[in-house]
Amino acid sequence: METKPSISDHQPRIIRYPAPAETYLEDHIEEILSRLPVKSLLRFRCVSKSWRALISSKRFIKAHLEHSRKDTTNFTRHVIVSTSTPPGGIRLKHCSLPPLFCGLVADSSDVDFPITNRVGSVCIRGNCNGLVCVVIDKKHIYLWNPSTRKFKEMPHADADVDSNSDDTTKAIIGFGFDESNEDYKVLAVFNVGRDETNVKIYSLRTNSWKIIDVFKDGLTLSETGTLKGSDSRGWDIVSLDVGSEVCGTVAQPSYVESDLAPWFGLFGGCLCVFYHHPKIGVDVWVLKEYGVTESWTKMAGRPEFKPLCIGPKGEILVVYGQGFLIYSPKDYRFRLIVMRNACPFLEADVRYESLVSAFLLS
Amino acid sequence: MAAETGTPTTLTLKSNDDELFSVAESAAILSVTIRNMVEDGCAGGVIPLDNVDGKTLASVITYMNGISAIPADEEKKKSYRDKFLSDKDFETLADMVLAANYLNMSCLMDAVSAKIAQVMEKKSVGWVRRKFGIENDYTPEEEAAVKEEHKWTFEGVETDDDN
Repeated sequence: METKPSISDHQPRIIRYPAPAETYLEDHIEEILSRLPVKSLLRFRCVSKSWRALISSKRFIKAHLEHSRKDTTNFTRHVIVSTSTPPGGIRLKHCSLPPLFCGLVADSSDVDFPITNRVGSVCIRGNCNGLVCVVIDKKHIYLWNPSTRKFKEMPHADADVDSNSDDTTKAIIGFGFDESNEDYKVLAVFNVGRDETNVKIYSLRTNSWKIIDVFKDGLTLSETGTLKGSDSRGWDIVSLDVGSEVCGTVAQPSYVESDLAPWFGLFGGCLCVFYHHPKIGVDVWVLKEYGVTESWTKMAGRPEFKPLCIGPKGEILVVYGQGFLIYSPKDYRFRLIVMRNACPFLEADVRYESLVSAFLLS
Repeated sequence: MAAETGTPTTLTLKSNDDELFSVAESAAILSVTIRNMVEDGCAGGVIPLDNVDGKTLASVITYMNGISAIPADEEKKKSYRDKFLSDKDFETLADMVLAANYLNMSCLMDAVSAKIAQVMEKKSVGWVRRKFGIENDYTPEEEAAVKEEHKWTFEGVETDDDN
């Protein structure tokens, strides 16, 4: 061993060095495992009791979620689409993102959606932290983690809402995570008549719905963290903080006014707004940081393009009609992508993998 | 502290199996551990790195030289890291995680951890136990029960070739 100073002759500045204690691969297991896809992690629960305990722990699930969220390689991201399959059924298909960005043709596979006895219709109503909110046969709402294949059916939302609104298709559904209470919430806005809405919010923690006194007009909604909507009067963008359940407005970018109502989407988890100018085109604005008005960024857009997510080299995956294309903002080029067995599709969403369970909270 | 001169400063690093390596200070200070030593003026002689063997240190120095030659372009740095790690086997990667940790090189640590995860993705439970030196503490009945909970995750697993 080289001249290693003993504790007594340490000079104070040497304290800054890491103790040369021996470390083992075991000490870095969490660091490594938090980068694995969910399928591998669920398999490796069999490695040992301590691995199973680690992989099931709240702290690890959170660390893994953070990696999935930040992952710029899109290694653990998937596109999920609903397609109509004759006769009359709707199926969910999915495809991992990297092949979509790399090639011209990518294979899709059937999502192993666990509810097989009801396949009349399947609507994707947002996703958050790896959980997807799906509505089956227009009234059964599920929170489902496609990576773990676990799902939970929510109690009916319409039990004490006016009888003419018992159809969830008439409701606008939004899904979000309430960070302050570590809870997942689903917002349902039922239009019960002209200028009248019933708004209910579901909490996974209490596993129940309650009526909240917000949004008295018809709304269109989209998801994540805070739910955002559009007030039909004067094109305000209104929001609901799913934590405090208080609504507010979102300051808009300095867009060019148009007679047409703007519409909304999500792009890489950020709110984006489309301002349509007939015969001229569409301005797409993305709110890069929620709550920061200066972070509104204008993107090149076309009326028929709906941006979905950003690729590792800055390319953008765009929904175009009932298919996909990859758009490169650097040189304004785009190419069509075929997602085999899944085109045309009805709706598309991008989710990332997580171990988050709809059962942990309740 | 070494005097500021026009010529690049070279440091001498010593592995725990007594191999000596010369490396430009500008590359070596990618390691926060080494940078602290340099800032504290301890870099005059030979810097002993008690937790890194010669083979691993040689590899880390190749990386230090390679990555520090790339200008501030994260995309190029990332592709260098990918290429650098592409031909490393599991044992080498495991040694590099420990070295990156000891040398406090977070970018290398991230990249190697991600690479190990990529290698492990389709491996069997047995492979993981062998490579990580983990003893199976389940009874056969317990293991079968845990496996049964997520049986589908055992589809598409590579057959073990121990590479």
